[in-house]
Amino acid sequence: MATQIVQHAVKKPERKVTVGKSPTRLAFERFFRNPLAVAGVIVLSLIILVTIFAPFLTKFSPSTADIMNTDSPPTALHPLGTDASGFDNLARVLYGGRVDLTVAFAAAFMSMFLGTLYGGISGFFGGWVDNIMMRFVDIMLNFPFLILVLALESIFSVQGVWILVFVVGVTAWPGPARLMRGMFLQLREQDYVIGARTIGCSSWRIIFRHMLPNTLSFLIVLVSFSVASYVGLEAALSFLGLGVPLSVPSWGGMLNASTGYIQLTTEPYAWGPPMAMIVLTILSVNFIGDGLRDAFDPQSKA
Amino acid sequence: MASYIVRRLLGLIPTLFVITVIVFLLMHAMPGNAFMALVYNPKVKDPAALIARLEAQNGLNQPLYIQYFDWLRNVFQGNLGMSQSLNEPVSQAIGQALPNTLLLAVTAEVIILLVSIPIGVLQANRANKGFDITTSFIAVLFYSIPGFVFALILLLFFSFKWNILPSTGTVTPGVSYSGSLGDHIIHLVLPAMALALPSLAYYTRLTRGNTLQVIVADFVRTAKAKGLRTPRILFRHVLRNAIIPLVTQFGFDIGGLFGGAIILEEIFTWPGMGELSINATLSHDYPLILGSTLVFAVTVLIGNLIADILLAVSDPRIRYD
Amino acid sequence: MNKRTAMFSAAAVVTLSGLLAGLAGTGAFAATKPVAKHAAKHAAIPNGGTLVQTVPSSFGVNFIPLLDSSAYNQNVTGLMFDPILTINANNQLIGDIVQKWWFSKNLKTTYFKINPNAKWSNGIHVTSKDVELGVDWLASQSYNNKDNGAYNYIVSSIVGAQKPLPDGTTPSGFKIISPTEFSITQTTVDPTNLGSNLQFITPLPTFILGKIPMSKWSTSAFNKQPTIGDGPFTITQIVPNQSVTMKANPYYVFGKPHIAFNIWKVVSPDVVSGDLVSGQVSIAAVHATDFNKLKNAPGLATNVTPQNSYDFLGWRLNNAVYGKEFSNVKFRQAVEYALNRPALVQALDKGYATVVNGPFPSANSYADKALANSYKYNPTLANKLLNEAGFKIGKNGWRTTPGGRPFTPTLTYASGDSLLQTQAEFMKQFMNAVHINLKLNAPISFEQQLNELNNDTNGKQPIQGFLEAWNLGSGPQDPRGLWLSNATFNTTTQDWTQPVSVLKQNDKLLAEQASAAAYNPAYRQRVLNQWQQLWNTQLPTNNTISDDLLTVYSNKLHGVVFSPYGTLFIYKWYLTK
Repeated sequence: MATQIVQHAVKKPERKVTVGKSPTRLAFERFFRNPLAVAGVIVLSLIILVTIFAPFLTKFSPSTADIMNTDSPPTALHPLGTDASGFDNLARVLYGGRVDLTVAFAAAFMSMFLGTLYGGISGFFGGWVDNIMMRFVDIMLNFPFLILVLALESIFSVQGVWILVFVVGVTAWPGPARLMRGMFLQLREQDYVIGARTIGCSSWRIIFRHMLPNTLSFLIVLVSFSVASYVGLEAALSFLGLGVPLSVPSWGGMLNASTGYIQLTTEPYAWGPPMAMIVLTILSVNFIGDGLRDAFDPQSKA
Repeated sequence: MASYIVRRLLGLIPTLFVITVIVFLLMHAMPGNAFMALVYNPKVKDPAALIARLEAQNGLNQPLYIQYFDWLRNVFQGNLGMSQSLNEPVSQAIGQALPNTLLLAVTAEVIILLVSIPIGVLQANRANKGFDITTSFIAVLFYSIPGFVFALILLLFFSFKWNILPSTGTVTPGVSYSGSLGDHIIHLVLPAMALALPSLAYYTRLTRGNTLQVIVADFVRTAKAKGLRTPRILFRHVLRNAIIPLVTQFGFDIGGLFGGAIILEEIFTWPGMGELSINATLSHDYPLILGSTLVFAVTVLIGNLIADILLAVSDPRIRYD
Repeated sequence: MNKRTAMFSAAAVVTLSGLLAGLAGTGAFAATKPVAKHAAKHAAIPNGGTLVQTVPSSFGVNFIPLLDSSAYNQNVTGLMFDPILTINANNQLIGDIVQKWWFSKNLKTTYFKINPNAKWSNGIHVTSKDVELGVDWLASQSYNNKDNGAYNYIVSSIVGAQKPLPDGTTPSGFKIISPTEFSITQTTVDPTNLGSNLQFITPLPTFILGKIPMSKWSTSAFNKQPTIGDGPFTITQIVPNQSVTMKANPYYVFGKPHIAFNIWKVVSPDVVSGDLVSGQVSIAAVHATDFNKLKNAPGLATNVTPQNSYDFLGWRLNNAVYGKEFSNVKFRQAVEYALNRPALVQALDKGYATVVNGPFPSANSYADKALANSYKYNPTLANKLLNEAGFKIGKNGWRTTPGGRPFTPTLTYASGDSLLQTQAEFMKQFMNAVHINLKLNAPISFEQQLNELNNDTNGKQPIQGFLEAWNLGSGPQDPRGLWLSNATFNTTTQDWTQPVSVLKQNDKLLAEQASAAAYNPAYRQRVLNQWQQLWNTQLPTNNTISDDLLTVYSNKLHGVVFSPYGTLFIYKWYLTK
């Protein structure tokens, strides 16, 4: 389809490109000229730093309940108040990213790595390989997420971030694999792939040098959206009571505990900050994704 | 193509078999069954005997493989069994829930497509201009707010503060207009919005990206050279080509949509498949878990099949051999 | 406050009474207040209007009383079908369909006279035959072997009903004297039986159900949507999984209810508070944090009523790892002193709760008031008791078992309800403060917790300490189901206390409170007090607090009767414009 035609069209330098710079270098230059993308990088780095260095930013432990001080409004001691268990909201916001970001990035990594590899192979080889590999994907696509979470939690009698990471790892990749396989199915019929094959390029070389770069912009959108949906996943599981234990701080858990009808209007200090963290994370990941796509997609005007 | 579809349809059978086996094993791996809580009453003279009777009645005292094949045999006879927590046939429970889920999913999907395709095309046409940036930003913002919070915020304003839309259910009980078309529509608005708005971002993004790629293609240049006006080029020539991946994506999503939006259905008390399956899972209602899994699996698989066919139809060069 | 709370806690709080008194309650009136007087006094009470009440999760599909075990169905059937007797807000047994009852000399037989006003919603009188059908149903093989069967205990004390009877057979202990009089003979003399079992016998319309074989009841049209009832409201419309609309029964035994329509609506706990404010729901129970904020909302009224339920911290006394330690009464006493329960009342319920020191919460009319101030928070005393019992503090700051092994008991609690998780966190802190290294398990499903509790004769299940709650329901309390040493539901285990002599005394007192002499309420109370004091010294479980029932309702709704078991007498309620 049209993608590759475009590719050919833009191979011709229509802009003044300084000879001597590698395409990657050029891409990064383009990326850093994109203000939104740069802002995304800065914000995301800040969030990650805050999460890592949380112990230096608050003296409260996010997992020490204070029974004498529950549901407190903001005070000098607790700038964001405390929750129903007397946990300091500020400490929980700062530490909370550890769970949400771990789950989200694990999901992103799995969907990017496994999804591309699996989908790529399946789509490239086609035929019976594709058939068998896609039947397995069909099975994995139907993997009952909630039952898996419940079963694992009850079998191992643990509840927490690693169960979520495991479950996400098992269930995140089939969707992207399915999509990538579709892309590869299209690409392998393109003239330049057929050409590469005729001149005797190995399959791996064709996949990695010729086809993968052409799926990049698609992949980046996919990954940035999967990060976003998995930041929200922990929140959704908390809502169903299947998230991390109460003593483990998480943004999703905080939102869940503070977004009743009444709290929405009366306690913005409790739900506002975790919400802001989630929204900022997702926004910056998306801007970074957009920036990367535009930078690596040579025809883009950015 | 026909033989391909037949082959794929036949291929569904082993896939479904494996899926149900996995679900069957997983659900039995969760300790406790639906009857534990049912008879948890000190006045029951011999609860152990009562539990044993209920388990025997439902075949839970049989070895696992026999339970599974019993279930399978019944399914082939069109019998999905009795739900243990609802005390009604699984097929009846699903029969009540599925239309609600369908209605919500189709409405949401129509909203998504009607809104995101034009926006995506216009964004591509004005790439990185004000319109593009603002709409992208709003779309991603909707996307990034966790679903249940988004739903609660919609409820807060439209139902609680302004009281212009009902908060729960699919019809208003106990009024003369109960169940009329208008009654259905006012109940549908909030859940459909809550389901559609966060997904706008993804589809807008896809449309925009595809349009951007098509917009520089040779045939577009030709069309421009012929002096066609921009809207005509955009919506006649470009869109036609840009929409294909979108339709494919739609095929993949069909299955997921039938699965229901578990959390939204909970919040809006929208009695659909999502609510049914989560309640089945939480109450360890084995026949209902298996029944709803089967419905999900069939819809996901058929959705995938449709996507594959669309992909093939859209691009004749793809070989299915 | 917490998502899905209501659904989970409906499961996690186990109700002791066979039937929930129901949030709506079954209609009845105190025998001392005749209908006419009531009506005359309130001549100006407006009639009409629609009441919207909520349930947190879907209804079942069976509406023949007791066919379905769903508590939410019982909300509906409770309004459509009145039982023979009911309980008022003071926990006294009062007439309903039956107006008067009296006992034979040997106390084994009870005679009942049906209220002359008792009619079905089509105007036909309720007769002894209808009551008989209700008894036959609960005793039948169809009910017990094919259908639910869980409420067989209501009739199982009647002579001849110990085993399921062929469908349509009447147990020999049930006798029809006349169309309006009948008698029931029990196998044993038991003063609690009438109030906790026989009370729930529900007449069924012979002119409909009498014509259908019992084996077909569950598939009958009447079961899917009953057309006739003897309760204050009858069903007019059922929207599956969403709502049940009911209209006032003009022939109700205590007069037609003032409110014209009652709607039971499934509403997610997340949106109940919002629906109350916007007026989409008329009355609902909410959590303390929401309650405090709704108190001042315009258009709403509130009510606080102590409930007959309590939370507790239990220990598996037969546990293979620490059973011996948990069985030490000093350990359990120390735990009770180590729990800062007034702080729990504040933190978990914003003050809307009371501390529980015995097997009955203070809202229970049988509670021994003398126990009110026992086990005041005293960590020093807790440490002292633990030291005395040989739990020494090791080098790492944690106590070891008297045998010198590390002592790291675990606490199990059900998932879903975040308040339960909060409670578990607090328990951990209280225990840590007295150097007990209590560890929290991951929350598990309520079904799994029950599974571990019920199948633990050898103490090998992972469950050690656990959080649970009991709802004691209404009526004359009969603690035997929970606290007899061999009771199946004695969740702590069968030998909850040492030495054996104490256990024997426990069983003796429990037998005595249900003996012939206990037909004298004062005597029964005296024995129950003795037993409660014994319980209080032994603490088979560490009872913590009893939450109040916090109800928020429209200020247009009047006449609601609140009780420790829910709201009562819906036929007295009325709505103003």
